[in-house]
Amino acid sequence: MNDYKFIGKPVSRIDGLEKVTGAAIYVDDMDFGPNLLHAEVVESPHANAIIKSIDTTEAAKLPGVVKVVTGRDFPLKFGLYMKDR
Amino acid sequence: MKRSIEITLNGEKRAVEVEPNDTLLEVLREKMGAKGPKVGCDRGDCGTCNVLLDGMSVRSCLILAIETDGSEIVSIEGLCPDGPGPLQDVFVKNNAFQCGFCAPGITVSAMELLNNNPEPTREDVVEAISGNLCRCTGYTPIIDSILEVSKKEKSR
Repeated sequence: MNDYKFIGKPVSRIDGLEKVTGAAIYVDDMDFGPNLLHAEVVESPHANAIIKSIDTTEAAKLPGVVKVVTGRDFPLKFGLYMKDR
Repeated sequence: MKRSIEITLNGEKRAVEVEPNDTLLEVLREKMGAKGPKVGCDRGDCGTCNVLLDGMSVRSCLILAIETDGSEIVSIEGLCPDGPGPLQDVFVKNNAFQCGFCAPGITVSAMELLNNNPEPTREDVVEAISGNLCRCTGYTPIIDSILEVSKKEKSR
């Protein structure tokens, strides 16, 4: 059999060394600075209901709110349970 | 009320202002820039925040920083200041870690063991890392690596 460069040989993880020396940066280790925005999900209070309308005007008026996003802002529907709808 | 404490972190003596309720983990990560110890559970379950406090491995999330005034702390970053040590090399060679989130704590626990007991049995190793949770590779390659390095050190 030909001598391959990788096949049949042990390969070390490319990020192995940084993980065992504490150098690896995980998301919680990142500093996003004071401009980091926080998101809050508001769920329906009803277990099974039809959305007739969502009024976000009051929420948008709250101090510090940058943007209120609803399903209307995302044009696609996907997901396991969407076929029920 | 803020208090100034002095700790030696990885060989460097440093002063830091802490609140009485700051944990050592918070101070290391947020005030001293040592991001090696991770916040896994923040309640002493997982062991990924382990550091050596005066040579003893402790959970930095369960220790108040203010209690460590005057002590010496070694985190994963300072464990082998002259590049990766034999234990770390063997961990890498054996692909002992996958996501690596538990690696800082397990490496600290293993170093404490090997410092105190250079020829541990498999049971000793299992006992030493019993306070560290790993959710990916499982413990076998980690235990094998610690045993491998202890045998290697012995033959030197």
